Amino acid sequence: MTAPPDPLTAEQVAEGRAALARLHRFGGESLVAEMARMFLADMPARLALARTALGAAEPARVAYAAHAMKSSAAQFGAGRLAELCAAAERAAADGDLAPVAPLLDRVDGELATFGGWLGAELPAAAPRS
Amino acid sequence: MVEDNADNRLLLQAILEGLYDVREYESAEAALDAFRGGGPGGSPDVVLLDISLPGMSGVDLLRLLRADAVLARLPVIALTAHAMAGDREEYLAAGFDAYVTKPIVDEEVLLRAIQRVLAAEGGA
Repeated sequence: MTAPPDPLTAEQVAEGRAALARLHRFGGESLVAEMARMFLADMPARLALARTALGAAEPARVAYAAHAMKSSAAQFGAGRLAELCAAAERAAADGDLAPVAPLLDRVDGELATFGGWLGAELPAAAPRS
Repeated sequence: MVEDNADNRLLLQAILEGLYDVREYESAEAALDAFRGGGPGGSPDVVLLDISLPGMSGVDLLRLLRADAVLARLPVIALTAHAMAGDREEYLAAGFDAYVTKPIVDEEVLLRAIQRVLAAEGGA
């Protein structure tokens, strides 16, 4: 059983808000809202792809999915999430799938934490149920 | 731009909007077909190329471009979240004209890289 992820620290919240401010500078509220919406929708899908690839013992596909997740997480200032994705990418790229499953579990938990924070910061971006 | 992730394409479009006419390709294969076929308006003036792509990688696309008699001198900027020590030197040695890391934190880094490679080709 995996321990629940720690809540975001004040520093992590600051990094997330700085990332949102950058996105706003790049393209205004519409860009922020659309990118956040895409993040909240696409990250779980990419995680599912990584897990499917892991189950099929396809390290290249795992690395590819983890790399994409890392990139998106980093653009949103989600440093801890990006680091976990990077660790999964490195392991898979090295052909070592043994540590990947627990790493993806941690990615899942961290994504829930960060996604919850992002959805609260930007209610308009939250997926419609 | 050659970029498989929709969020990155959206971000780059936002940064480049109004400055450049941007065409998007989601894979190296689609980009290569378009460049060789001339595409609307001809081949691009500069390519922003993600390294990690489905199918053919960005590095492999670059090799094909550099081996093409018509496209060999096309300015190509590597865009990548690969940021390990030595990556920049490796990509420049492979033939990229510039290297910009993701996440995009300062849009001026990207814009200056584009201006620099265009100026070097006399296409500014």
